[in-house]
Amino acid sequence: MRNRQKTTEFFKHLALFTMVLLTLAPLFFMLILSVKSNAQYYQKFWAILPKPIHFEYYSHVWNYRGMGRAMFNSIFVAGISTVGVVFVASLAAYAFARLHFWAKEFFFYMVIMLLMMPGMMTLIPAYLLVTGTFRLGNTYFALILPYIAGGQVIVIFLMRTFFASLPEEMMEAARLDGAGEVSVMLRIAMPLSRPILATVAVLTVLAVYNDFIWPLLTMTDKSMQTVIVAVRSLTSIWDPEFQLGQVQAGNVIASIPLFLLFMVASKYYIQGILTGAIRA
Amino acid sequence: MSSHGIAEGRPSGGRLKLRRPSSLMGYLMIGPTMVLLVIFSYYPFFSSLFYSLTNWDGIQSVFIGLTNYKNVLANPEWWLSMGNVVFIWIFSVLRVLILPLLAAELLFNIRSIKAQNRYRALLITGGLAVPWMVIALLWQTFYHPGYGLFFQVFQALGIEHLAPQWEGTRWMALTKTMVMGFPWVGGLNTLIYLAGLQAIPNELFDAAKVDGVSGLFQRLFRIDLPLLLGQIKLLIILCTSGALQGYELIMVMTGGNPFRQSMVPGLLMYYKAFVYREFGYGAAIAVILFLLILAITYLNFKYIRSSTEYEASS
Repeated sequence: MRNRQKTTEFFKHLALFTMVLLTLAPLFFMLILSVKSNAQYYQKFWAILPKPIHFEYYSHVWNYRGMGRAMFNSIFVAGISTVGVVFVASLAAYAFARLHFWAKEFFFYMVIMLLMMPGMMTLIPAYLLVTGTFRLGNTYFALILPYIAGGQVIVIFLMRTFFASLPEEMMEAARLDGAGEVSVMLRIAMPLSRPILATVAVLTVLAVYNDFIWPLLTMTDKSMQTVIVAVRSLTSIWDPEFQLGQVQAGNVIASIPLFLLFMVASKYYIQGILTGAIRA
Repeated sequence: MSSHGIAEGRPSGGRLKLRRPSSLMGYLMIGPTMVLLVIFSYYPFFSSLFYSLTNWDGIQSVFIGLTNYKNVLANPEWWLSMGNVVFIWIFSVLRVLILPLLAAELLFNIRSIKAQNRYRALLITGGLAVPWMVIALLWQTFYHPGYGLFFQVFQALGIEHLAPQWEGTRWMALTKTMVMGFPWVGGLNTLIYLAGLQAIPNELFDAAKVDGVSGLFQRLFRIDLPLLLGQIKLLIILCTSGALQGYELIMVMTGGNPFRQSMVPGLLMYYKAFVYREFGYGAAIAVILFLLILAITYLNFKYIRSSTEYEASS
């Protein structure tokens, strides 16, 4: 009886191990292919350590094909947008959760209804607005402002629930001490919401970093491109020194920030999802 | 909210005023949010509706009523796209229902917690820590007829003449976009199922065992699946709206090739609006898709919401 349990356990491990292997194998290939020359792609495809190894693809792609600049752009935009979203959305979530003002419900529904809004309905006019009317094309604002506008919806939704669950006595205590409302929010509510803030920050960074169409449309200047757009443009071969390995080198570079993010924050992200951030 | 707090006088004397937060504060706090929403969400939304009734091309705009809509529905490329959407939808639902659920069950039933967490972390990292664009470009490399992984495997086995032509036909192009990312267990879907499984109270499992539900398969079909219906429906809804509106992946993997046979509605909108500058036409496509999603959501609420949906979470 014990043996049968041990065998089923073994097969479960085997199955999971296979899944992990299949999921990670492409990434392994990506690393190997990033240092192989074109000839090695065709002739020595299966070699794990190519001779000679071409690390220079990384510096070529970073300096000459714009990945370095793009990396700065992506990280900058993702960082500022996330800070912006957290700031704006926390204020609103706190107000919706704990304050009372006329037409509060109406305004809240205005926010929530946007969860249903398909991106395509806003794309064309937003593009015309940002590049035409506001003339913000090729500036960081063209990315940051819409990201804050869009990202705040889900954040407000999640944080409002959290803020609403806090006991009123804590706020009263702070108010008794003479704190202004914003102070109450900053000193009492926010520190308590660190776990959910972490989840929300990871969600926002992921969404902003991975965004493709909007940066593609609004940033036509190559030096303002984000990493996701830039890495794709690596496949266009105007460069006489083009090597297939460079595309993969670009892929690897593009993956580093998210990889680091997950090293640091995956615990929070997983906890957030598991404890019901999916209460759709 | 009434301030029934007891205002105790401070030792230093003087009365305490318990200040109730004013309405103004509420408006100030939601101010930035609302301004951003109106500018970047609500105004564009209504603009799309308006543009769709004109022939706006960036230079001049004439009100033309429903002409754009008629043109869209008369465009054979539109119907081709919708056909592709059906294919994509079926494929994505299969992708999302089978393997991630299996992976979640495996994770859930592993005895050692340490192993479970380790596998889970590896799957999440493999799925989410890498940008989708990277996975797409990587698989594009795999699909290449000369140096691609698939061709290399066939070549090594000596049967390279049987190697699939990934861009050859419409269905191959669509298939290659959907096969990408195999085994599809990294990332959010597995996590969602796992969360659902972990939310099932243990008493249910014990009760089932007492009632004679033995073996993994019985338990799977009679307990787990019914209780995961909520998650399954959520994922199907996400698949549906993704299949109708998604086009970034197709743009990167096929670009509509071969010969615009793998076109999808979103890509059609993109080309019409941003390549041909026919903003009115593009807006019409967006509105049609929006109405479709609305209709599907409504139908979902009305007919698929069954009263036998189990709520396992407390």
